Amino acid sequence: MDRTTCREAVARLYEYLDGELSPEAAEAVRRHFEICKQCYPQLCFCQAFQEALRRAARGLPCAPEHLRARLAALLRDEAARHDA
Amino acid sequence: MDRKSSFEAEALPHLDAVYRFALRLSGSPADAEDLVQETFLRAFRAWEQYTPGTRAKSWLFTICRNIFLRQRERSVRHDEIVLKAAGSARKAGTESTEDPLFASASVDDPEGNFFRELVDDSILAAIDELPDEFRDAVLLSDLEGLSYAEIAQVLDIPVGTVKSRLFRGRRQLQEKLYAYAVDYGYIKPRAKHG
Repeated sequence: MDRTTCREAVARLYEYLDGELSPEAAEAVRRHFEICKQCYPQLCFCQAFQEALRRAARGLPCAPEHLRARLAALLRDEAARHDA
Repeated sequence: MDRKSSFEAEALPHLDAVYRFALRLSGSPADAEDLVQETFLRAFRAWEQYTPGTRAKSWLFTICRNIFLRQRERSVRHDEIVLKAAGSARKAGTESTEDPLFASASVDDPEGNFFRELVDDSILAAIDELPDEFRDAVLLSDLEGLSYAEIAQVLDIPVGTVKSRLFRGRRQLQEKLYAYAVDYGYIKPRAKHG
């Protein structure tokens, strides 16, 4: 039987999507969204939102090559100083 | 494994993530590069303090943000920061924390299909426009995949504050993206009654 109320499920929606709930709590929230017509669109909405952000994150810039090279040289010097 | 090899294996793979974080904090590639360099140098010197098995990524983010804040303290006038913080606190206080959906979107596109139409650059630009404290939380969670506990460590705030900043930041971002989707015709808002 589903004991989770709509209010509780919606309040824990992000914790659920972010993987912050215990397996039991996550299961209770998941079951509520599965059977609740009113809450289900909210789950879809937040999932679509987070997917869009993750997709956008793939387009973020990487560290430039010259920085990578400069860092490697810096660490080499630092390690030599540390070992000396 | 010696110190340098273990550092290279555990810390260096996060170079891109730390660079992106530094870029968001500082706002310029040149400043971000200096910040990244300083971060990795300090991390390397303090490598004994890193607990193996924990996430090096959030540890590096913490160092990076601390360096950034100290630099900013030196360069920005105190009253400017206070003014900015007061402004965003006022704005945040007016929002409802009842449900994660806002009224217009739940009427026009309740399942958020418009999010799929949005261009990545417009999403990233909207994140940049968020107040700093919300932007950082959203960035670390949704873009970098840190847990609430890790975000709390990086931003030096309680986990409860992480949750509320994420909630408010995501809400503001959804509103911005919704407005953008309406502007570009991805959703047609229903005509108001009356």
